[in-house]
Amino acid sequence: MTRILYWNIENFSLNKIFNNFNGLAFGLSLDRQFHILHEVMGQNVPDIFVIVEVYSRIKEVGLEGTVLKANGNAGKGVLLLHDRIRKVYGNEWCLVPPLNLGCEGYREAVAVFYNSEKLQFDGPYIWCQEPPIRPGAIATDWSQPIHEHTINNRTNYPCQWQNVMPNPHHPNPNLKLNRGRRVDMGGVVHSVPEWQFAGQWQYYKNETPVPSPIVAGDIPNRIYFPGRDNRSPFLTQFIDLTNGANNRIIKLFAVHTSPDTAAQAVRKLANVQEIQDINANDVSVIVGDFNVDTFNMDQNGAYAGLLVPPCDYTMALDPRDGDHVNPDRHPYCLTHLLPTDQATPFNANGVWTDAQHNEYPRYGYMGSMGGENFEVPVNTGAIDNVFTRNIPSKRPRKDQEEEEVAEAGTGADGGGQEIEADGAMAGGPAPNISIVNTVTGKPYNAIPDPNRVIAELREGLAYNSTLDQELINQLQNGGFDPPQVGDPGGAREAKGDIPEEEEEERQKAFAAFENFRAWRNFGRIRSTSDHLALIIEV
Amino acid sequence: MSLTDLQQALQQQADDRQNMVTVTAAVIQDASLTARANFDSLIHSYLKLSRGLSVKVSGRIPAPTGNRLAFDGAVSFLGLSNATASLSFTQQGGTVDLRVSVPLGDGWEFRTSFAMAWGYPFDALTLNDAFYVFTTSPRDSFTWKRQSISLGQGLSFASSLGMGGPFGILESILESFSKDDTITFSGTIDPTHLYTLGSGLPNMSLTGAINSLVKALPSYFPLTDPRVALDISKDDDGNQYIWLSLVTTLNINDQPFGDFKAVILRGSSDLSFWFAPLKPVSPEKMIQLMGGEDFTKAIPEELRTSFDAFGLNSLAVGLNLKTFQVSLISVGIGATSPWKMGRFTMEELTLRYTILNPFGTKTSLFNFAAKSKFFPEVFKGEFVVEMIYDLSSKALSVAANYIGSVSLSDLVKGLSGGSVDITDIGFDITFDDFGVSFNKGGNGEYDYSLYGSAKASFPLPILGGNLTASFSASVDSATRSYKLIGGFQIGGSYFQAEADLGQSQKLLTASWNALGGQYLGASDIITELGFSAPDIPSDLDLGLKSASMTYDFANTILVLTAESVNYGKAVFVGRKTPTQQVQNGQGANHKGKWQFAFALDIHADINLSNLPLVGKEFPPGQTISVDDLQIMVASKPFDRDAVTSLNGLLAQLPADGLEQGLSLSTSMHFGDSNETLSLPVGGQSQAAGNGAAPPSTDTTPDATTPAPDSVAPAATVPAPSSTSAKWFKVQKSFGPVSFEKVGVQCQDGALRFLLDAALSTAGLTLSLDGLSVGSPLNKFDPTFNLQGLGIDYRRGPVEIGGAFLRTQATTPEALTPN
Repeated sequence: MTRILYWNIENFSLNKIFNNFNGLAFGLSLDRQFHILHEVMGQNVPDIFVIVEVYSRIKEVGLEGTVLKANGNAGKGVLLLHDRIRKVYGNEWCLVPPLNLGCEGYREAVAVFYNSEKLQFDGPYIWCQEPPIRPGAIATDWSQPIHEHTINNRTNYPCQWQNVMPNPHHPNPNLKLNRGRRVDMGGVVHSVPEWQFAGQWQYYKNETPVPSPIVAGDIPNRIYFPGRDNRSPFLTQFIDLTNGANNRIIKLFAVHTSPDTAAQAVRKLANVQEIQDINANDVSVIVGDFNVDTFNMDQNGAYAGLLVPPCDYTMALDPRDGDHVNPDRHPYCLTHLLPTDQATPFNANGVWTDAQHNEYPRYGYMGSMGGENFEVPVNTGAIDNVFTRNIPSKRPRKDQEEEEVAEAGTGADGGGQEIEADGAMAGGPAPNISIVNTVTGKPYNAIPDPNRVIAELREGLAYNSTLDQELINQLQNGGFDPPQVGDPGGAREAKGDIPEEEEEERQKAFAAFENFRAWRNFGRIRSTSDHLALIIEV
Repeated sequence: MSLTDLQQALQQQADDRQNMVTVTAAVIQDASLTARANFDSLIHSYLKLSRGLSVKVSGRIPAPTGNRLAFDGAVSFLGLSNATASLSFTQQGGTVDLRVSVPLGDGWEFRTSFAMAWGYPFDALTLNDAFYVFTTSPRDSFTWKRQSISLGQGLSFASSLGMGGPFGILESILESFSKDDTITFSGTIDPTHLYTLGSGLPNMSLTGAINSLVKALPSYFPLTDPRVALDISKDDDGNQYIWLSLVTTLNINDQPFGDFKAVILRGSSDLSFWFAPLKPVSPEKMIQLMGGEDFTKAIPEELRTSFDAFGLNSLAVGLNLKTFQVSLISVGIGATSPWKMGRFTMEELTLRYTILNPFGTKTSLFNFAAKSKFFPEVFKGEFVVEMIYDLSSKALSVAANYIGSVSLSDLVKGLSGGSVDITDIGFDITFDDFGVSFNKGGNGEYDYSLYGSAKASFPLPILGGNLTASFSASVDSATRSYKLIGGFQIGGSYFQAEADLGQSQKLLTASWNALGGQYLGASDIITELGFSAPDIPSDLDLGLKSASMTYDFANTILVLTAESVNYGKAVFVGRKTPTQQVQNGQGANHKGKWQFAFALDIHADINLSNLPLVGKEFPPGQTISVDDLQIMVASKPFDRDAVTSLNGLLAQLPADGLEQGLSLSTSMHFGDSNETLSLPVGGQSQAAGNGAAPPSTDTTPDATTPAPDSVAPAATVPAPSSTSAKWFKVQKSFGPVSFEKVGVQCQDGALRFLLDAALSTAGLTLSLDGLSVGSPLNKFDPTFNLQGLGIDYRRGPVEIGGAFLRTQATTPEALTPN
């Protein structure tokens, strides 16, 4: 069993976890670092930790498929976090060098940390120095497919990334490992060492051109997600070294679509050969921020292709109850947090349910900002998910004996088509999935659910809330009743035109959710990311 | 006049009000004394008392001693009820100040006074012998447990603080420390911003010295004077933060250098210190602070001048308490002068240098941060700049980011110096996130490459529709290119698109390829462009597998070419008819209307040599065939001029124009003669778009040609409806076979060619009634048909006339020769 922690950490870079610009920034960044390392990663230590949205807001200069500049703020952030992970959880923690994905304003990277005692990084690409074969081209080190054109151009990563993986010259004795894979290339066997493998950053409809073309416009047959500047999934694969795993391969796709074109991008995932293909002994896992709300009937058809053959993945946070999307599951599937100044701990007692007044476990702190200028809290945000294939299910698949498989919808945004249930998998979340909710804590069983929401969504690994205990008590006991007086959304200053008692009540109402929003409670969680992490055992 | 007067006034109050006195500035003034400025306001804002300080005195108020009037009583404020308080009035220089000290007693905790003061770190603090001391004096002191506590104007706090709980972490760093120790903990509390005691947290600044040495850090400088601090403060945005921290003094060469402060996080087992020097630090000392790392090697030649003089802005040191090793050193070194990078200026230039494991296998990471005004007339704020220097290649990469709104039109106009105008593209986008990277050109000047991206998709007006689009702006100063790059959705499929705004003719080009059999239909495209779905035969399953598009913004002409998986090439042309000045009595313009044409090549060649009866009569080498079949749909008629204007972009439409509705174009080959047929068929087209006129009814090129409706359809052979056929004069003979006309009919998903033909030889003329060949449109499967024969024989006196009608046998008897 391999435990994978996935998290979209908003604009993850050095400043997120270490900012010495001034004393306050320093304290805040260390608190975020503590939240990541101890309160999220530490409560159930994973074997793989995937961070998407590695981005300093200043674009990386370089080609797609090249490694992050170690001296850039994004690269520094990844290296510092890796250093901290090693200090807290042991030197066996290694890191797949993060590559530039996407172009221009879409450029980001994915950081994949892994426990090298349990897993061996296995590519699928290799790190190459491309000879300057094109006129005027500069030799480039980048990630390339294993191919007769590239196998002999393997090289080592730049020095700062060299020791993030085991290698025979590693200064740490435990990481002086000479592991790798033998690759038969036209009868010639090459031994590719672990530290020269690389993640995959590009996908093609037919044969993958090698070396990867560098052109100004679209590359023929390349699958874009959906535009040529958008990020492709980042594929890393690992050999499971644990006893009984039979050296199974874990294929791990990390996805971060762009919100403005997300449904189009998600639709294309099902067309990726690497996502479709799997060997019997292996597992394939797609984690990510898909930016398509699984409860949005106008968009969630974009997932349909992933759920039927030839993909045939299981959706971990599944909105479907039988054949239909069940809105009762919504509070249990949300992963996106409202901005601190919009978040409330309020339930919907006596008021209309909306993004700021809702029920356990989401209350009024989860959702997204919508409207024309993204200034209105809206009731969406079930956008992070995990899709698995070849994972044994806890419960029997419904109608498993039936051969007939309902044809899945292919509708995407604008298509007005919801996920159509595959009869064999309808309403079947994967086992061992947990939303790492350190606001209310997990499992989501503080308030008994009247059997509306299945156990897979309520249970999973346990996470303690990191809020003050009295807040926890209140959130686990029905939340805060919305204030019946005053205007907590308005100005805090005393109004002067209302009776004193009412003003006091108004101020108390402010205080109630200001305390919830305070840095030491919700504030530090939301400052770390607008997403909650997910953890799954595969 | 004296404190005695005040004593008497207060005593009078007590006598009159059952031992209650209320202390206000007025009471002091009534005693002919001057109260400290803002006396009442201080009581109100710090003690949250709106009507002065009420005190219940016990016994008589004693006479003043010297310049001090002191007495005890019971007070109620800050959550305290009838708490014993000591009041002291002092007169200094004619001004009277008040000091009130209140022991808080057992069971008091911060939340007793401030309802929101719970959770970490309040719940983790063990406080004893706590006191509030309020004073109106700017400088005062208070003796707490034989220690003199300095007081400032307002509310102060003093207590003993246990070193258990979160302070346990200090055991790793302090020489003589016990969790059972207690220290004196004091400082100020400022609740002035609170409306009520329950409406928030006061600001606090409390500290307590720890009587211990700090353990020597291996390979690093000594720390001394440890103390703990609790700070609650607001940042510039009004956000309040609570920090519990360890503060020490960093010493270099036995000289105190400044305060090192480490936040004690809830549950943390590590400490990281932060330091901001208050006085200049020499380069040598900086290198010492960085564990001997020579940071000057990280400064590239270009920046040397700016770093001729520099200062240490900040220093952070991470301490691994498990190993008690310095695990990280990070500094910010600021240049004292900006860097002129060509026409751009980098301000606040700072080297940010971080060393992981500085005293082990170290990793050095460094870059430069700066701020810059970049085209300030376009971007109103500053760009945040990151510069990365590669020591091996000596290359300096410079990139920057700006968060703020700028419209596409302002962006292009501003960056092009006004030379590029995009008003004719008919829309604008607001971008809110910009990135720019710089490259040094051969002339020493820096070129830039900029992108601007938007948070969300936007409606892109194309023809009569709005496509959901997502575009980034891309500007390259070296090539002077101004582009939009992105895409839009049609029928759920994403078209990648690009527009070169720097060209005089502004064209949007786009392309799309199907994945996994997710084909597009013609209606998907046409309806999203704002037209009603055309009356394309329902069986015409186009299955478009790829498409490319060109849209002329200024002339509002769109040309889309696509490949059908079932047929051949498909073309869609949409445009807005030119606005015309019409004399309608009001002098108004007749606005242009949207119109489109859709054409589809059908890869189907039909050889008529297989026609019944006549096919075998064709002379050798002479045949009749049909190829280059093209189905066309027009929402409105395209006249010759319209076609001419479009065929510059697309040479697909019939030169003579295109009628409204469904049309067919094909090449017919009659032996050596080729004829291009282009004529409306079906007559049932309902195609209409924005402003489309009702379909024309007169679409027959040869209106005088009688429809061959004299031939009755066979009972069971699906015969074309003659009323929907369009006829074309041929008047050609091939050997004994003569063709008068050819008709074309598109109906019920099938296309048929109707042939008005006759076979003549030796006086015998066989008229071939209902001779036709056709195929379903969704599947090329030609079938030939002859519905009847007419016989006309004239030779001499003999005349024979008659006709045969083909019927479908329905009974065995019918098959019996009769």
